[in-house]
Amino acid sequence: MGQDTHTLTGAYALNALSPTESVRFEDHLADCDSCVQEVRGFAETSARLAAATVQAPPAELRARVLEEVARTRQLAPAPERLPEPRARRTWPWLLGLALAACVATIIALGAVVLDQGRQVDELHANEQRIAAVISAPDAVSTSAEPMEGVSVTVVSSETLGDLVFSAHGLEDLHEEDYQLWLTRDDGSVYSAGVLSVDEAGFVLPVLAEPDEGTEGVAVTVEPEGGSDQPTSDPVMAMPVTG
Amino acid sequence: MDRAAAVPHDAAHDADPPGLEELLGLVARGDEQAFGRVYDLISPTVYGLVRRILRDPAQSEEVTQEVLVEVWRSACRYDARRGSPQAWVMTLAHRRAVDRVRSEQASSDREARAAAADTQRPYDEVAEEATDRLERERVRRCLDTLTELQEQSVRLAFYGGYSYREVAGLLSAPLGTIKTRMRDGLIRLRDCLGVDW
Ligand SMILES: [Zn+2]
Repeated sequence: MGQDTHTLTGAYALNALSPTESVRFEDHLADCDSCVQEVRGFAETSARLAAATVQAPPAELRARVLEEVARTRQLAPAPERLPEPRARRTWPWLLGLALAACVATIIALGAVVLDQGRQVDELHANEQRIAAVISAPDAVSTSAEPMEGVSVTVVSSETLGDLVFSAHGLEDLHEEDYQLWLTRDDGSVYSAGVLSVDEAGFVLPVLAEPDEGTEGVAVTVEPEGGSDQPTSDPVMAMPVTG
Repeated sequence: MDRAAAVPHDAAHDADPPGLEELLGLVARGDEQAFGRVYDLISPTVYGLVRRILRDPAQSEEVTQEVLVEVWRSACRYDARRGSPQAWVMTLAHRRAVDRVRSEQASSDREARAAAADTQRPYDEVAEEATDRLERERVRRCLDTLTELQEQSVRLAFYGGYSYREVAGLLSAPLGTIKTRMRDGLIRLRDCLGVDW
C-alpha cells in the first residue's frame, strides 16, 4: 500500500471507493488503528449528515416491513472465534471484522447452490464429485456475505468427506489471483487452489478434501498462479460447519 | 399463532424507554416487538437518506424495506464498541442506496442527482420535529464551514452516491485531490458537529 493509503478514510467512509478498493482498504484497516479510529468518527459524522434528511416513510411501509421480518430468519451469532493462526502469519481480523460476526447456516440448498448446480453440468474435472457433494443427503451448506454484493457458500458432506466452495460478486483481478485456503484448528492453513472467476464475478466451484481439524475457509489475493502460503490478509474467511 | 405481539406496546409505563442500542440487543434475540420500536425510531432517517440519494419514491421505499429487514437479520452484527447504533444503521442504509444507484447507471438520472446534491439543502419535510430542524440547521452550518471543494466532494459522495472517481470527473479535479478533500472535509465536519469518536 502506498503512503497515501491513510487518506482513503474519507472516501471509504462515504462509500465512494470501488468494491476492490474497499476490500484493500479494509486490509489496511486491519493493521492501522489510526485509520480505524478515523473511519469510526466519519461513520458517526455521516450518521449526523443522514439525520438532516429525516422524512417519514409512507405509513403502509411499516406493516410491509414487519410482515417480511416475521418470516425472515435472523443470522445466528457466529462461533466465538475463527481459528487463530499461531505460526507463520497472523491474520488479525479473522477474529474481528464483519463477516465473522454472523454466519447464516442454510440447511436447504439455496439459490446460490442451484446456480452452482447449473455451472456444475459444464465442468469436466471433478464434476461428478462436486455434483455428489451438492446433492448429498447430508450436505450442509453455510453461506455468508463477507461484504456487500459478495456471497460465499460452502457445501460439505461428512459421509463423502468433501467440501465445495463457491462465491459470486468478486471483482476481477489484474495479474493477481484469488486463492482459497482451508484453515485448521491448530492455526495452520493449506491451499485449496486458485479460484477461477468469470466476468460476472462468479467463482467456479472448487472441490476440496478437508483433512482432520479443518475449521474454516479463507480467501486471499495472491500473485498470479497462487502462493505456497498466504502472503496477504484474507479478503474473506468463514467457519465450515459439519 | 399468538397475536399478542401485534398489540401496540405501551411505552408510557416504562420509566426510561429503552434506547436504540438496547432495542437492537433485543432484536438480535428475535424480539419482533422491539423491532417495531426500532422501526419507529430509525425509519424516518433511513427513508430520508435513501430518498435523498435515489429520489424515486418507489425505489426509496424498496431500499428502505431492504435496509430495515437487514437490520433485523443482522442485528447480532452490531457491536457497541465500534460505534453508535445510528452510525451502524446509517452505514447499512447508505451502502444499500449507493449500491442501488450504481447498479442503475442511467446517465440522465445521474445528472439530475448531481444537480440535486449540488444545490439542494437538506429540507423538504413538512411536519418536521423541532429536534430534527435543529439538527438540520447544525449540519447546514457545519457544511458552510467547509471549503467549496470539500463541501461539493462530501455532498456528491454522501447525498449523491457518487464514487470519488465520478466526483473527480464532475468537479474536474484530480483524483488525489478529491480523496483528500473528502477526508479533510469530514474531519472538519466531525469537529464542527462535536462528534466524539
Ligand atoms: Zn492507515
